[in-house]
Amino acid sequence: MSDILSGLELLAQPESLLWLLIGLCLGFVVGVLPGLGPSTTAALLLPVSVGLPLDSALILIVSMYAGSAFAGAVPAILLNIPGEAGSVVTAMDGYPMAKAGKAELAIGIARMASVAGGVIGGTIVLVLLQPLSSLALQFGRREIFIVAVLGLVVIASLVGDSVRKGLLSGVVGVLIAAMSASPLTGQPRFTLGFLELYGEVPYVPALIGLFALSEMFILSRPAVANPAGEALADAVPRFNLRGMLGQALSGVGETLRRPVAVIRSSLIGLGIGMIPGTGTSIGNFISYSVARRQSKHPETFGKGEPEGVIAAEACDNAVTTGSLVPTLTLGIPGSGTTAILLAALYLQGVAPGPQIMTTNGPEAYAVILAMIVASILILPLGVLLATPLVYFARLPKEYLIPTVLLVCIAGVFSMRNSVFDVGLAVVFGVLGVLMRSLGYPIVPLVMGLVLGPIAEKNFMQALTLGDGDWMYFFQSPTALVLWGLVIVLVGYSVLGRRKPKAPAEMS
Amino acid sequence: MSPKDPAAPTSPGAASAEPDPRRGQERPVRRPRRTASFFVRLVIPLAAGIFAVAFFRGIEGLPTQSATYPRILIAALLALVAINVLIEARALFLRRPHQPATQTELSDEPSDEFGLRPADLLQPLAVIVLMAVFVVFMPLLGFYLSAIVLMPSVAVVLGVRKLWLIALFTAVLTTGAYLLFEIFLEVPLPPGFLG
Repeated sequence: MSDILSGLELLAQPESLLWLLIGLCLGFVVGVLPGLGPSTTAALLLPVSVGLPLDSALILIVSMYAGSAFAGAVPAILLNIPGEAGSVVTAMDGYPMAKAGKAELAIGIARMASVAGGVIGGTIVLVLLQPLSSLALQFGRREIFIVAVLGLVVIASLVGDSVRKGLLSGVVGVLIAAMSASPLTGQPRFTLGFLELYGEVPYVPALIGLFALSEMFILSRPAVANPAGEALADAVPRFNLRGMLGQALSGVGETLRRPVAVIRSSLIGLGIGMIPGTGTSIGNFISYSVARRQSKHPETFGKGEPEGVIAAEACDNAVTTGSLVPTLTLGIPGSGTTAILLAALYLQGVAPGPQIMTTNGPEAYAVILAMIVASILILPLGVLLATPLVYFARLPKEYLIPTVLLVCIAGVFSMRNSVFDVGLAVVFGVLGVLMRSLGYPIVPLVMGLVLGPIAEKNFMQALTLGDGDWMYFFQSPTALVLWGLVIVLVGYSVLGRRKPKAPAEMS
Repeated sequence: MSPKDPAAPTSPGAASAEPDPRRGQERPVRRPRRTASFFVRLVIPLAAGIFAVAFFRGIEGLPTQSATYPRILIAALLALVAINVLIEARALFLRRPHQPATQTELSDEPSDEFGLRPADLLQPLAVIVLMAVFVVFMPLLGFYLSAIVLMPSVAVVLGVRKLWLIALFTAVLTTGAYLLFEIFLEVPLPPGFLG
C-alpha cells in the first residue's frame, strides 16, 4: 500500500502531470495520423525520455499509448480507416453509425468505453501487481530463461501470418543481440571490430530504425498518397463545443447503460493484454465476437450497434494496461510499445523483472496510476481535442517524412553522441523495409533484441548453478510446466497455421 | 503498424478470378513468375543463413563460456532457415505445370502490401540513399548544415516542387530541431567544421 501511495505522490508532481498531458495529446495525434503508430512514436520518444526523471519518462510513454488507443477510433468511425490496428473492429459498427448521421455519438461511446476499459484494467492491475510480482519472484534463473523463450515463442507465433517467419525473425534478433562482449569472459563476439558494439548492441538505434525509419521509408512509396487524410478532415464535424458536450454526455449515457458489456470487454482485454504479443487487434476481435454471441440481437452487429463499439474500445484500452503486467513483473514486453518502455527502463538503469517491485515499486505503481489517470482524462480532453486533432491527418507525407527522419537522426545521435548509432539505425531501417516487404514481421526481431540479453544472462547463470548439467533446465516442476507450454504453443501454432489473417501487430 | 493503404496497388501476380464470358466459368488465375518469386522469397532466410555462418566463423577459437550460447542460437537459426527454404521450395515446386494456380495456393504469397515492383522502389531507395549520405557527411558538415542540404532533397524526391515551400519548410524544421534538442533538451548536435 505504501508503494501505491508513493506512486501517487510521484504522479501528483506538476512535472509528471505535465508529461502525462503532453503524452496524452501526442497519443491523440498519433492515433489519428496514418503512418505514425504508438510503437514508432514511443521509439522516437526514447531519446527524449533519457533526459527526464524515470517516472516522467515512463508516464510520457504510457500516456501516449493510452491516448493513441482511443484516438485511433476517430478515423475508424468517420471514414472506416482505422488509425491503429486495434480500431479495425471499432469501424465495424462505428462507421455504420457515422453513415447514419450518428458520428459524434459513436465517437462519444468510443471515448467513454476507452475510459472505462483503461480504468477497470488499471485498477485490477494495481491490485494484482504485487501478488504477481511475488509469484514471479519464485522464479529462479532457469525459470526466467524459459519464460524469455516462452515470451519469444508466443510473440513469434501470434504476430504476422506465419509461425516459421516469426520464429526466424525472433532468433535473428536474439543472435544480433549476442553480437557483443561475452557477459562471462568479456571477449568480443562477432563485433566486426566496432568498439561501439562491445557493451551490447545498442537497441535504441535498432528500435528507432526498425519502427520509425522503416515506416518512413515505406511511406515514401509513390502509391501511398494521403487521400484518406483529405477526406478525413472533410468528414470531421464542425467544431461546436455545445454540440460536442451534448454528444459526449449521450456517449457516456449509452456506454453506462451497458455495464455488462463494458466490464466483460475490459476483462477480456486485460487477460489478453497480459499475454505477450497478442496486442489490441486480436483482443478486440475476440471481445467483439463474444459480445455478438452473447447479445440478444446479434443481427444488429455490423450495422451500427453501440455495443460493438463498446466491445472494441473498452477492450482496446484494457489491453494496453494489461500489457504492462508481463513488462513490469517479468521483464517480458507485452507489445511493441511496451518493448520500448522496457528499453526506457534499461536506459534509466532499472532492470525490469520480478525484483522491480522491490527496487522501484513506487515508479512501477506510478506507471499504472498514470495509465488510469490518462484514461480518465481521455473524456474531457478527448471532447476538446480528439476531433479537431484529426486535422493532423491532413499533414502531407512530403513534410511528415523528412520531419520524422530528422527527429530520428537527432534523437539517435543524442543517446551516445555517436554517428555510429545513426548509421546503425539506418541499417536497421533498411532491414525493416526488406523484412516487411517480404512478409517477415519485425516485432519478434525487436523482442529478440530486448529479450536476448535477459535470456543469455539467465541461461549462463542457470548453467553455472547446475554445474554445467543441461538437465538442470528440466529439474523443477515449474520449469517442466513452462517447457510444456512452449511445446504446446509451438505445436498448436504450427498445426493451426491456416488461421484467419490478423492485422500485423505493431503496438 | 499503418493500416493497409487503400490506394496500394496489387502486385502483378495477385490472384484474381474473373468469369470467362465465353464459357461462363471462372478463368484460371494468372500464375506469378514462379522462379523470380521464389528467389525473392528466399532473400531473408538466405541472408539469415549467411549471417549465422559468418557469426559461427567469427567466434571460432573462443572458449566455451563465450561461445556456447551463440552456437546454440546459430544452430536454431540454421534449422529455421532450412525449414523456411524447404517450405518455400515445396510451395513452388509442388505446383504442377498443368495445374493452374488457384486462390488457395496463392494465399502463401508474401504480402503484396508493400510490393516490390520497381516503380515502388525508386522513391524509398532515393530516401534511403539520402539518409546514408546524411550519415556520412554529418560529422564533416555538422547536423544543421546537413539538414539544410538534405531534408529539402527528401521533400523534392517526395514530390514537393514549390521553392518557397521547400525553403520555408527547411527553415521551420531546422529551427524546430535546434529549439527542441539544443535549447529544450540541452543535447548538443554535431557542429561539423563550423564548430
